[in-house]
Amino acid sequence: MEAAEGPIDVRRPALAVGLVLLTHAGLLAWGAARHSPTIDEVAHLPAGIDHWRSGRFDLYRVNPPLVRMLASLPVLAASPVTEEFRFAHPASRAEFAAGGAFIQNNGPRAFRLFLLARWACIPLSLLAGWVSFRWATALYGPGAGMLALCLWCFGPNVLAHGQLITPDVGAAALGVGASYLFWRWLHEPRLALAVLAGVALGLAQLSKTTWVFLVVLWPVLWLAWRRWPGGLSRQSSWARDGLHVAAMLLVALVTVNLGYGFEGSFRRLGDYQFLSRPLSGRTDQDPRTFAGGNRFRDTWLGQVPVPLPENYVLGIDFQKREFELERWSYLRGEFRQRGWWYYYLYALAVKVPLGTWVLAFLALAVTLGRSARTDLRRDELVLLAPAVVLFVWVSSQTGFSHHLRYVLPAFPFAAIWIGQSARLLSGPARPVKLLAGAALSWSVASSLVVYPHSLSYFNELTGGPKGGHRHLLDSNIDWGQDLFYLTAWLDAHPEARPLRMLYHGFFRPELAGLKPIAPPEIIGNPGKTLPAHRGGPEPGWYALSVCWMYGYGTAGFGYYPQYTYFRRFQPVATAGYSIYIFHVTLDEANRVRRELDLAELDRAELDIAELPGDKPAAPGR
Amino acid sequence: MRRLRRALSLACLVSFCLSGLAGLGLAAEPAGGDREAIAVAAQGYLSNRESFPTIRCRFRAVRAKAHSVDDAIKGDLVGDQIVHEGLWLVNGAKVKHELVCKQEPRSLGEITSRPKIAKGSSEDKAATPKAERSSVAVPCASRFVLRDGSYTLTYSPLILGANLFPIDMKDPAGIRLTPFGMDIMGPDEMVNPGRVLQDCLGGMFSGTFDGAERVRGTDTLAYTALYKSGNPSSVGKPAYRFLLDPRRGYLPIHTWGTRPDTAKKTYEAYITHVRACSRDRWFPERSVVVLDIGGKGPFTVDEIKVLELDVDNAPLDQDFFLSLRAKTQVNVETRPEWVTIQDDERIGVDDLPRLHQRCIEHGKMRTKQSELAKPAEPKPAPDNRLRWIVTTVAGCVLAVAVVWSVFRWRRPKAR
Repeated sequence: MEAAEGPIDVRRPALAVGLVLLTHAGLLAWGAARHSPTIDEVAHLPAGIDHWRSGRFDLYRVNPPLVRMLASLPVLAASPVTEEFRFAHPASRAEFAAGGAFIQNNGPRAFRLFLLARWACIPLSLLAGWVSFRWATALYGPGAGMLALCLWCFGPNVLAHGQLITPDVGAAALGVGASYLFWRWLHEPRLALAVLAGVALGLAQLSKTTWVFLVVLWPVLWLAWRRWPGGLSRQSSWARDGLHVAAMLLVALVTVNLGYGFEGSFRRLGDYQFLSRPLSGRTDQDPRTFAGGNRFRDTWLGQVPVPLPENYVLGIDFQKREFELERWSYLRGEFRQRGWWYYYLYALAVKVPLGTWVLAFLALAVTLGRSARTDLRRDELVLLAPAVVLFVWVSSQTGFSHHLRYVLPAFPFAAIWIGQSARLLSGPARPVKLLAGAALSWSVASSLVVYPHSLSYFNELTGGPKGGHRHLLDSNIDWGQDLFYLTAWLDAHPEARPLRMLYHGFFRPELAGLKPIAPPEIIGNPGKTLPAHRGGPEPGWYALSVCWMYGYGTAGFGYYPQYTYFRRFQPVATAGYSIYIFHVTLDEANRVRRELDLAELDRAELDIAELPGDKPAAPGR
Repeated sequence: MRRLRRALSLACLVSFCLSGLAGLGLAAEPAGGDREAIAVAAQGYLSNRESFPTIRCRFRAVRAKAHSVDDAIKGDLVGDQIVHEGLWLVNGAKVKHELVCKQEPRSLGEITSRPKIAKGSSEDKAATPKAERSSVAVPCASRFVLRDGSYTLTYSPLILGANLFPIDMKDPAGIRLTPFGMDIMGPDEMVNPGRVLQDCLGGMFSGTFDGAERVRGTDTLAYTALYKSGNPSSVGKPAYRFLLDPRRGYLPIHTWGTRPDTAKKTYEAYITHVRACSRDRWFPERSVVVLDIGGKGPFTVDEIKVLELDVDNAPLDQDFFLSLRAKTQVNVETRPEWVTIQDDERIGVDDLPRLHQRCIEHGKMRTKQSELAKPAEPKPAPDNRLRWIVTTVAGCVLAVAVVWSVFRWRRPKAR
């Protein structure tokens, strides 16, 4: 098909598509059942339940509510126990307190509730896959559609986040869905499509505020489309299309308001209490203690009613403020209190399968080698512009750099564009055909080999998931997902007791049958002489989340080097790829103590009944 | 004959000092004899003072009364005595300083739980000024200081309070009572003879070299620092006078100081015994400070006596610690950083950065708890009827629009 000719018949590969989507759903469902709730999920679920129950949307206002409301819908039927948390300070994150209480109050069944919520989000990932298939098919043919679908459905980052109650995959699905409908409208400028695109745009805004730029980008793309040679269809006229664009934005506005139940809509701009620098007018105050302000309050703009839900506006403001905090960030062994503009480029380089990269280069070659067919170039502009703008925008926010998932909404666009390399699979050049086939196989195999630990996926360039922590931390490798794997390992190794552990996450280790007793820390400055009883390595069994091994505190709120000495030991096993298990013997403890200028431990003085033997445990996961 | 010999030896000493000056390169600028002599003395004092990178010193400081200066020097003290047992450990930048008061009450409760005052008596609450009622007299209080190169921790067990001073803050009280500082040289010996004499060269004071003088059998060189600015009635009058023993590290065998506003003498101090240490170093072994010197007496006297001294062997690292009692609050002054020690805790000098981190984290946590986590005022439940009506209507309209759109979109295809 060539885009301007309308959609092609996609019935033939329907069975294959169904099979891939079914497999994808199965992978997500199984992965969801294997992993403990990650850091943000702990807060998303009770916030979603609270939205339904109270009709208020102030919990977790930094993200719009759609995905978590969808997730919590089946959980509501299970009558979970929740507590209401409301804090007065606008910068407070009461949702995490609510999350802690949710886990506490629901006890062992808390995980089942999380699992229900996770499964409820799987259709969003399927939607993204299906749209990717449709759009790629429409642009480049059925082969491209299948390739895009496979790249989405078997991509490790999609498998990692598609099984969680976080908004990233939902935002990807709704963003690409909205963009697809907008593209369809550009081809067929009909009011019906404009309305559907508007609804989809509104839903995308309700998934993640990252997509807010679409309300500007779409009119710009429409203008560019019209200016493009051959951009005018038979039906189009400036006035009518302009009205359609206005209708789209209006419908999107209504949808966003509807998503928030019109809570705080049309509040005057001057009545808001903003926290971010651009909106509050804050100058030199510490953003951590700043209680809020409003630069518009005494201007005429302050009187203008804002036709958006209050918590949507405040969420954008809060997100901006979060990036102003300049939190600790980690990249390739370096810690610092702000991010890097190239963080996401680097993260893509190490977290996207090399096979996918090969396909991307082949797609580039196909694009460059293609005759300058203006209609396809124009279609690609509409396809790639949202992804590029999103990527550049997110990269420009360098207050902190923690998560590759922030650019996940751009993935389906990239998958569609890479899909065109499928042409090479059916092309005449045998080496290229082989290369493309091998790249696809490599990409899928590389991902599935690591599955279900897809959250910790790193490509072969970095040595795989085991070498990932040298490059990235936090949700790129260790987001608190592997507690159950640690429990399973402990069940298989009864000798590994007592086990002292340090877990990077908000889920309660007790609910996974673990006792969270922290390992000895080094108090003071490592490298200086300390009396032996002031901490430092001791013999025993230990399990540490990899973030703690690097001193990375939760969400980059601090740098805590008191456990980094564990990197000097060789782990005997790992739980998933995010929790490292150590069996430290007295000799090993003293070796590291010597390295750190700490007084050595004397076997006779150790107040433990039984020292771990010198025989190392069998490695395993 | 003896006098002649003594005069000659003093003259030789002065000449020796002046000739040494050229060698030190301190006489690069043309200056009078006073200036050169002052420079030599400043250098001499500081050289000896700074030649003790390690100190382990146990001393006793007694405050009492004496009828005269001679009695004080002889140790004939009268009246109640307040005794502080001192420990001073130095190893480079690491310092531990203890002043343990023997008469200190265990807690403030002991001194505040006074017997109830009968109503109507002269100490009736109604009759006693509020400020007076709330103030209590403490005979003395122990004080502990622990330092590394960056941090200073001061601790007062009586009030269960400790102050932590990070590298960018200075402990204003400093360490004052040591055999060298004698509690007359200000915080951390800021106004020791060496520095005052250097200030004379720098122009803060006018300095004079007053020649040789004999103090209680010791030949000394006398120097006077005169006020150069400040209260006009004080300008030109002595601020400090030092009689330094050039053969024993230029220690101030006798010194006195005056008040800046009146230029009246406020104290006289005598180092009565000096201990010879290895490598030609000299350490004050006993000193006497006579306060309120302007009156007729009896005078208040501080006597500082070294009990144990080792300047050749560095104190062990594990000696640099403070034992904080449970419930001690550690504060970083002027900042929202503090922590309350829950159990008795031993804080080593290497623990100070960690202690600071604990203060920061605790302060943040409490700030969050008190400010961020303050429960919101219960809002009156808004009338949501209109909101739900609008939502329902808009939802229905949108649903109809979506259905219509899908139908319209698919219709041509159906044809």
